[in-house]
Amino acid sequence: MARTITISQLRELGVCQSALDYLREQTGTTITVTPELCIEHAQIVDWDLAKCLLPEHLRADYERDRAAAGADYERVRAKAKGKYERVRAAAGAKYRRATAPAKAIYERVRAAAGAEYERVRAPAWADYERVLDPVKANYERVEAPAKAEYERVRAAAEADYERVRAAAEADYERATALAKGKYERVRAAAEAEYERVRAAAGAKYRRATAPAKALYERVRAAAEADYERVRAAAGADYGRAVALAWAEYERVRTAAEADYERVRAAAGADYERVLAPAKAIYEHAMAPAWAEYGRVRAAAEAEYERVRAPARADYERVRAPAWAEYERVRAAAEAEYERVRAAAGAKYRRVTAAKWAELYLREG
Amino acid sequence: MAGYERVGAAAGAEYERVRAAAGAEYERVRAAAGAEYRRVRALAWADYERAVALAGADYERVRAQAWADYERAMALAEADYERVRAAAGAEYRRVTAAKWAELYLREG
Repeated sequence: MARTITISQLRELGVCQSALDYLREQTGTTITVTPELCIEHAQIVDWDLAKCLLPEHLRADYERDRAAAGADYERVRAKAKGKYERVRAAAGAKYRRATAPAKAIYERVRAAAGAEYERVRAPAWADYERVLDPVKANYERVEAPAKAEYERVRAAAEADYERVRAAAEADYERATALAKGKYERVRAAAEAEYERVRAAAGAKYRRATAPAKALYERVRAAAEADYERVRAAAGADYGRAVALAWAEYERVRTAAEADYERVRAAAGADYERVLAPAKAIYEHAMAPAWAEYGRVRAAAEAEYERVRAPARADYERVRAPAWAEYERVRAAAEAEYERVRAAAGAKYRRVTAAKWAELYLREG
Repeated sequence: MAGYERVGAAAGAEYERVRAAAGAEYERVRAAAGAEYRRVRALAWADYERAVALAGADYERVRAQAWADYERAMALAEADYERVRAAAGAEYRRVTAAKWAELYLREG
């Protein structure tokens, strides 16, 4: 009896698209199965993918023949691979035999040439060092004392400079200390006054806003407590209803699920119904309290700004002349410092010039 | 320039004069000895390169010929292996296809 198989069936079994296209072109979308047809197209279509279409009791028979054919394939392939490996080993040995003498000659020549190179280079380097060593020693003999003398003169000049500079700096610090102390005293007093005014304005601000803030907190807490009380009562009812519905659900699964949904929905609606007026009361009470708080806070802030601005101006009025006085005294002290430093610098240059001339002439 | 810097510069210049005078002789000898060393070394290296290049060319000629022989032998062996493997594979596919068709039709 003729049996068929379709292209769609083969696609579902995992036959690749190019094989399906080929088969459709050769036989159409429905294939009448014959051994000759299967053998003819066996190199394109892997019929092993269709083994699940065979009845269960025939699969062992199929697997037996398939395993025997696979073993035949593996035996022939392994034999051919062994032959290939033998050829590869022989060709490799022949390659090594053919190249070994030339390689040995090459290595021998390379080693000899390297040795000859080193034989010529090493004495040339020894000559280089032999010629250079005394000249280098002579250079170092002359250079070292010259460098030491340079370091000695430089260090002495630097020490002298540092001594004069430190003395001038101490004079400067002494001259400016008095003026700076005076400035600090004036500045501290002005800042204390400013802080006093600022603290008073801040306290007034907090006093003005405190009742509105307390009222706001009281209203908010009461509304929240009311909300919690209503929610807890509604929640207890809800939990009880749900527990009953859940027990019913466990006893008769299908029927209980419908009951459960009904009870849960009713309890939820009840919960929402009880909660809504409490929430409305809360929001209704809170809105004006918040508005009142905002109004009082803004007024207190404006009052604070009104007080702070003139206090700041007072502070600046006191600070500015004190700062000017400080700058005047400091500038005078700095001018004195520059005068002393310049004289010390001139003396320093005179001393170092005389020393340099003395040493320069000594070697003449 | 500050006094300190002038003294330092003068002492530095004196040091530099002494160092340069002594250094000039050192540099002259070093340059001459270095040039002689480099000349000898370059000649020896050229000899080395020439000897190695000649020996290397002979070795490379023999090696290239032997490698060509190896490649030819391996190409033939690989083609032979592939031919045998493909034929065995085709036989496997033919046998499994025939068996599958036989069993598929038996239940028809």
